[in-house]
Amino acid sequence: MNSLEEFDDLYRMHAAAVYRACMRAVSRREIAEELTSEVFLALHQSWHKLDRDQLPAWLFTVAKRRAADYWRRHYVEDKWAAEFKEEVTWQEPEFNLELLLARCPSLKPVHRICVTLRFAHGMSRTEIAQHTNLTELQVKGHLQYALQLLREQMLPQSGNAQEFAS
Amino acid sequence: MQELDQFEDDFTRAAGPMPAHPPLDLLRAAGQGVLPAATETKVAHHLQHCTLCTMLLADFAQLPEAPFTTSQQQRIRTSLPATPQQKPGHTLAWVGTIAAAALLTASGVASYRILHRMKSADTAATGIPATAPTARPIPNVAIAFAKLPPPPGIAPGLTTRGVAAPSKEPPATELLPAFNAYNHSQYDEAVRQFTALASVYPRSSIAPLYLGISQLFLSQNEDALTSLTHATETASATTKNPAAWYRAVAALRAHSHEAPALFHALCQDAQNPATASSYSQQACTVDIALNATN
Repeated sequence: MNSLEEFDDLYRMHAAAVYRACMRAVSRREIAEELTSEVFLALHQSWHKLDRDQLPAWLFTVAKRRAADYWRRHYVEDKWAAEFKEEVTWQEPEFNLELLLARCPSLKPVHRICVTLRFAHGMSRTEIAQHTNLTELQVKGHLQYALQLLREQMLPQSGNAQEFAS
Repeated sequence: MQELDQFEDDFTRAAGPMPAHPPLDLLRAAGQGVLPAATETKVAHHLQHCTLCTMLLADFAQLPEAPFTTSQQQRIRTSLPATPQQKPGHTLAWVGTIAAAALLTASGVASYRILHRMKSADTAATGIPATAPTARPIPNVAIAFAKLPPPPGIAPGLTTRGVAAPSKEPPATELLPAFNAYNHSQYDEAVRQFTALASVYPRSSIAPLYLGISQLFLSQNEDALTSLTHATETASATTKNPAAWYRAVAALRAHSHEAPALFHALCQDAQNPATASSYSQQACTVDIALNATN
């Protein structure tokens, strides 16, 4: 097997796992793709000096370093600082969302995720779909279902309203 | 949809204002050792007190991971410096050690040969590279390229201090939004921002260079060639080589006649230690690959 075939074999064998590790670290598909590409470029650069026994751990170490570089270089610290200040002036919600969610055991994780991202993180349905690998139609369906249940918990006649008010 | 909108409005009204939370990508990155220490501390502190975010992360852990599609796999593979679809016994040297290399498809080889012969004949006859588009065969040549990092001193999204920009270049405060978009791969926005900067600072070397690269990522190859040609004209000592490389890439992707000459000229720099660069080595990779098919 020549170098090219060996490199391609290694790529086929590990690219998916490296990509998933990058996705976990950055949560953005296009960035994860770029990082994965950089990891294998690094492998290419180190090809002749790298001990093959170090694989695949070496790939994940590089992936982690590249992800750390991404956060260091690209993350807007000021934005986080601004949001953190908002948190200091915390406004207690009229209804505690986590308690509402906890009171609806028929909600599945995916329902809770959609509701939390929509109302606590202010994401659009399109953004939620991107983060969850769902279609917008699925997100809409999950929100509709979850909101029906949550609304029941918030109705005064249900006797829960006072309980859930913070 | 209208019904859901109404549902959401009712719920938002009833629930009242929600407290702020760290962005989802930060939450999910926490604990992996990839966040800057100060940010990690803030997020960890938030998670200690926010049951909603803790619940969100626990719920995300139960979702299936994002699939790694075949198209993604291929897209990433083509950005790497070797082609997996070479003819048997026709292994190209892995000369380029960074960034990119050329990928000649089997169908592109024949058409490139025609193109290259025409160019050589024209050059021999006139002494200058052929540029006339008469009966122009368009080679089916694909080339991968890497993203050029921002210039040293530009730390988009982090700081605006310490950038000693020459007067012909936009100040860092004006460059930052463009580089934020560029770094986040939001190339449409990057093109918009760099276009505006290039028109305000016509002698800038940075704006047309990164404008052209952003256009390349959007496959706006003709526009990229125009921008990058401009970038080579305004290039500084530090942007000269990347401008020449990306211009050649744009020319090849735009099927321009000048592409082979541009790669060849850049490759010539590799002969001289004073002018040799990683770009000239990459250009030689392309040049060698193209000539090997001739």
